[in-house]
Amino acid sequence: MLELNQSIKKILVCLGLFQALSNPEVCGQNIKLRGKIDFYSKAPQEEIKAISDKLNGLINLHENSFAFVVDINSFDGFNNPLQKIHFNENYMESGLYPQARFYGKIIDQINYDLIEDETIRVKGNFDIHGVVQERIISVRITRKNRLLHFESEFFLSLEDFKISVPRIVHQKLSTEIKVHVKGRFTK
Amino acid sequence: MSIKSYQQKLKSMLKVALPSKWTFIACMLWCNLLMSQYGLQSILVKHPFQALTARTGYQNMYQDSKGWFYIATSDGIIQYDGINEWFIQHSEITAEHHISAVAEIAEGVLLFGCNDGSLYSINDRILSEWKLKSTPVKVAISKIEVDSNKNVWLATKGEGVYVYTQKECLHFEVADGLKDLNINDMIVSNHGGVLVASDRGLYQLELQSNQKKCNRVHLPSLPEEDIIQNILPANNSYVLNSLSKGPLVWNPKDNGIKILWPAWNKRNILKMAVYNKLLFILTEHSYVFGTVDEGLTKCKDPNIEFKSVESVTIDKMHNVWLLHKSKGLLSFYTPVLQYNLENLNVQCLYLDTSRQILLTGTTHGLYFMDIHTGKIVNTSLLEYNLNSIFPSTEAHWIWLASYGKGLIYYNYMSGQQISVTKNQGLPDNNLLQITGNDRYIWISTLGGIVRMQNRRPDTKNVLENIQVYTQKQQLPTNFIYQIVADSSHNLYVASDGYGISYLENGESNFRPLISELSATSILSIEQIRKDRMIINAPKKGIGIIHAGVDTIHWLQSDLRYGGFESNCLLNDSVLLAASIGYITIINLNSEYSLTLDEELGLSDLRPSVNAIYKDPFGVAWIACQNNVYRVSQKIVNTIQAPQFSFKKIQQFEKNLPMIQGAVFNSDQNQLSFDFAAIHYLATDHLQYKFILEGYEKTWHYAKEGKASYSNLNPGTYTLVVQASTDKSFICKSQIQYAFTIQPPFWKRWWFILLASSILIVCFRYGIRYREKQRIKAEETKRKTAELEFELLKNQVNPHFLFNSFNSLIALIEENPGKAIEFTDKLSDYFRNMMFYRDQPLIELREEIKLLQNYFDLLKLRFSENINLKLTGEDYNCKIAPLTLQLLLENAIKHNDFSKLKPMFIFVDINERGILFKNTLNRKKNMKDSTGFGLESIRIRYQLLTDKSISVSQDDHYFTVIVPAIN
Repeated sequence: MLELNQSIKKILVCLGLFQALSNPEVCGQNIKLRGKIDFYSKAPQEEIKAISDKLNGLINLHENSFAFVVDINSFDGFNNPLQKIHFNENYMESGLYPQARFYGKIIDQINYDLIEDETIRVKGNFDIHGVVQERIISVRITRKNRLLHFESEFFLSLEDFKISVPRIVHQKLSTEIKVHVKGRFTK
Repeated sequence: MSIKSYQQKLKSMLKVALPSKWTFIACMLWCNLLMSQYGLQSILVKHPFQALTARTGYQNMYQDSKGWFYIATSDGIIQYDGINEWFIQHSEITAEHHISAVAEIAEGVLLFGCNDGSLYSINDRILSEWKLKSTPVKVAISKIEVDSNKNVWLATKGEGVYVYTQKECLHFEVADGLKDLNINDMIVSNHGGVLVASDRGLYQLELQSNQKKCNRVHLPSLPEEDIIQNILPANNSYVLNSLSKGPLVWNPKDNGIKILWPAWNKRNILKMAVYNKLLFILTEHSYVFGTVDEGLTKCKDPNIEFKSVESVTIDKMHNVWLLHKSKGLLSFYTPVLQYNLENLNVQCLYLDTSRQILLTGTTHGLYFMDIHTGKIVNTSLLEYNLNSIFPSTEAHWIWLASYGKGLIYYNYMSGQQISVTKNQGLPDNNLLQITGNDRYIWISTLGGIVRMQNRRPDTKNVLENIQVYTQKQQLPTNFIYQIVADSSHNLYVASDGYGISYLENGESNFRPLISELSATSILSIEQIRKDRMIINAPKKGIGIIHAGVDTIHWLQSDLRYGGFESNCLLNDSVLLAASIGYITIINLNSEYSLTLDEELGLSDLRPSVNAIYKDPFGVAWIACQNNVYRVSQKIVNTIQAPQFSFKKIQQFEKNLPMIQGAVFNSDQNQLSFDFAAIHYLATDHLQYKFILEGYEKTWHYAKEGKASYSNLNPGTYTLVVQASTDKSFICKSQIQYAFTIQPPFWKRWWFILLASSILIVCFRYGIRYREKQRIKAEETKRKTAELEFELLKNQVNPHFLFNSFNSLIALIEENPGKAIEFTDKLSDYFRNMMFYRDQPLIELREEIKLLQNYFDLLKLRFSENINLKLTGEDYNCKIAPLTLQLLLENAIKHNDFSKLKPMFIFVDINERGILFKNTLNRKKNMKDSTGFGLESIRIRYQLLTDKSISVSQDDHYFTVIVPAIN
């Protein structure tokens, strides 16, 4: 458990999972998640896509809760290096808000033994750019080679997270950002 | 403008205004009316706040008990009546905080909860922070509720529930049994206290003598820790939004659960609203209408983004309102609703006092129609052909005019009826129409017109106080379409083929009203504002008759099938007219008209003659052959001019006062004006035109509500702005703003006066000064000339010449060499005189040379009798020419000298000047001296310099000191 990401620990504390961490018996009921996250903005003048493979997550089977975290700085694959700097400094302000988080409750039970694919819903809070927004997201769970995989796609609005875009960039940046998350369950 | 072009314009306007953006959506607003059954079309109306606020951040909405909407935007809070009136409370608060919950905590007092836990209230339109008695909430407030004991309950996202009583603040948390502190929704329950929807089920919170009490509500067939997103009231039960089972109805009495939406399929429900039993649900790409009793059955996927809808509410009229984050306020609006009444030929309508039941008079009797469900129930009056309904002064009693069976006084609650027929004094049993007031009713029959009292008739005997008007009273015909009695009991009759007749109160005979109409048919007549009559004639349409004028003004309107069957005034200026397949709304003031036809599903409209009924809400009901149409009272707003006002007046982004007749400084001449108009249906299609009177002569047309002017000259201006929903500006509203730009201070009268007087004074003094200068200069000139003359006279002194020549003659004989020298010197002397005479100043050494030369001449004559001694060294200064020579001449002239008494002359040059001193031995016979020599030197020095010469004499010497000029 010591290799757990420091930031996840923080969230677990705020989720009330701290007890779970300190109690080894309950710890066994945690499932680690690893994956990739990418976002895509399509505006009339420019398409922007960036990806990060440093998405970490945790499911607490006892509480039926989950948490995801990703470092804003870890996103790469922009159209040019300057764009990454702008993304970090001007829009996401990653100095102030270094991480994006999503944590909450799993609504539909995940059937860990079943072979069929299924779609579940999770209700959670996005904590991005210092703003917390509650959302319900659908996640597709698939099974490949005895491993569970998850995949989800949703839209986030810049305005909701108080990310202000200068007028001249309106043609280059969509106000609705498509986010795509893909990963696997590890035990 | 021809009728055809009008038609085309209106059609094109409707086409532009409605489909794509307005999204024609067929929907059902009234509880059980299924749109498939009625084929109606609703419009999603966009309410006009984009024009009024700068930004798009619409956050939340709340409708208070009086029907006002409070809309929180990032620019402030807008109060809106849903149609036209608005009021903006601009505030920074909403720009910094996101309003997440609103509630009315007392009448007119609104409480706003923000997503950072802060609370604000609006009381009497003043926004202020709500002072709490204890530590404020630190997380988002999800719901505010006020119970019957005026306790204010706050549900929070993560801190449980707070309740503020009159005395204290109590906090419900985990220790109290509330398992999850993330509260999604909350509602005041019927038993007092609140029901709380949390992420772990439903809880009932109560205060019992200020003791906290928290009970978990166990919902059958739901998972133990189900997430309940919403809880809404529905009469005695509640609508819950469970994330595991979807929307369901929970009845707390029997703890029964009913699934509302079988086809839910785990769709993400964004917003829900319930009123009475009407349920409205928004999902990400669709919306659903339904009822609590019958569940949700219809689902449409319109082309509109519902994801950004922030709030949904249903008002008392069952209209659904949406607040879209960027589009602002939207509402479903059904302009015309159709009720299907197969095989019933409806001829008259009346809305009962409960406002729920429409009494429907048909050719087959009287029926009740539930206006919410459209259900028809028959009454005991089935064998009657009813032409008209008129209310009596008694509750639930009405007058009914039947064709063939006389007048019926009927209680629609009890079914009691009293018939009045020919036997009781009616001229005929075939009744056409009833009209009247609280005192009298007038009934038109095929046998003439009857006036009787509006009270329960006594049927045993012939009626008393009955007045019959027939052809004996000059009533032209018995075929009467409509009778109207005005407030002074004058009677107007619209008849078939004989125009309009009227009977003045107290007179006995009818008279024709307008001679030009005497041979035409008039279908209806209506009075507005005591001075105008509206008539409807076949083939001519709607006409206006002004009091005291014997002509008719016919309105240009859409006449498709020979005119209108029926018409009704919706208010003082808007008329609704119905014909086969269409209705026309006419603004009587601007004469602008709008036609609604098959685009709104009106192709089946077959209105009965004179059978539009306007209910107390302003809703117009059109009685037709097979159905009844309900025309929304809001249709009035489609024909009205846009509501219009100035938003701000700015100079370089700085706001200026918006007072009429404002006075601006001369440098405030770069003005920009922001104005906005709203219109119920066509805010997106508004046109503006403006003119700055006093500056320009042509109108500017614009789509944006902004006018800018720069470099305005001082003067008085009036900005006139018009807004219209159409390009022709027929249906327009106008505002104006008068202002004055002051001239700069140097152009104002007092400054000009002051400046010119100063100028005149200066000029005057200038002239005087110049004159003085001129006189002085002239004097100087004259004096100089005099001086020069004197000087010349002196220099060509004949005495000197004579002496000189004598000396020369003597020398020629004695010493011819010396004579030549003398002549040389003499000529030198004269040349120098000529040369230096005109110059103002010469070098001192030149002057000394001249003096020496002259002295040499004199020395030849007087030999040792005169002596000159020059001392001093500094010759580097200037002197007036011939000064020293003049002094020497004076000395020779005024003094005696001989060998015994020789004259000594000393010239000494020092820093003070040139000292000229000669020994004094005055001639005894010197009679008078003009003193001209000294005087001329003095004057010359006065002109040249401010230093003056000094003259002094003692017993032995005469001394003159001449200042040296550098």
